Amino acid sequence: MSTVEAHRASHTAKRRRRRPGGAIALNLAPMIDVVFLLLIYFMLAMNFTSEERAIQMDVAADQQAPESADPFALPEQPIMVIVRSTGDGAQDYGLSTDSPSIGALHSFDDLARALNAARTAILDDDQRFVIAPDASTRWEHTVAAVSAVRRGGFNRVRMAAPEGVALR
Amino acid sequence: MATRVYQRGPVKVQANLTPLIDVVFLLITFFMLVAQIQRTRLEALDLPRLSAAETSKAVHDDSAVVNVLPLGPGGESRGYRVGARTFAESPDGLGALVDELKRSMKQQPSANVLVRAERTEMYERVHPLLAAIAQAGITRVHVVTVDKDGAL
Repeated sequence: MSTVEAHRASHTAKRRRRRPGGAIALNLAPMIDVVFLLLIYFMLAMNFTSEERAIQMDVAADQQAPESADPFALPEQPIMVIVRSTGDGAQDYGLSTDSPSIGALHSFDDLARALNAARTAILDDDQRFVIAPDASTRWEHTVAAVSAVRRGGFNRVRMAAPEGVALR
Repeated sequence: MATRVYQRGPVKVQANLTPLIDVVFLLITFFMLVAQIQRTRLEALDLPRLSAAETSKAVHDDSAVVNVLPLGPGGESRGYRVGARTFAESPDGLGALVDELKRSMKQQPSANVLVRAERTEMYERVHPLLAAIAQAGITRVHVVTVDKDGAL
């Protein structure tokens, strides 16, 4: 028997002697302390994981640099993307553009595809886009239009003031 | 006294780790709570849904988070919230919002502006906010979305 074991044995023996009933009492207080701490810790940590994502967009009407620009260049017109909410569902929306090079659109995916096709053929890489919702267009449709333009490969996109331009 | 010590054999020194772990976890919890309190500026909103591929992770730290508060139960406007401050949806309120944004941009010129609004929010309520942000001299914002099923 090693010294440690001997020590333990004598210790238990002493305790047994002190408690003739033979009940070994487990001290629960520190365990409860630690368990509660862990519980609070994990509850907080769960709360922390944010699933929020973000998509970039311009807000100000970006000015063209007048001095450095070629004086004979034609003023570059932004393409207007008109988006309207037509019902209460997420899929109830209408979409059109004022560009003749982009045909009829049925979905945001259509817009992204059309822009991808036009980017290589017709449009400049830094072509500007203006999303034109009206007052009652829902935010999810407005944001989805921004996302579609960015998926189409264009990064210069902003939102216009709400106006009464009809969907084509 | 000395004889009693030697009777027990060599002294075994053991570090009691329990109080240390207790205190360390308490400190961690404390600092997480403090950080959590700082995050109360994030309103619980039903954000627009976009697939993750089109977006980047929203960084809330060191950015100005601007919330469009949803309409109250009676359809009354509850305005906009920047940090802990709420601004009315009126010319005065928007003017104060512009000042607040200008102030925070002066403090942290590199800060992002995050725009949070419910996905069902009408554009007429979001646009005054975007106009105020532009008026504060900010040229780029991050629109906050979530990655969920039903992405458009």
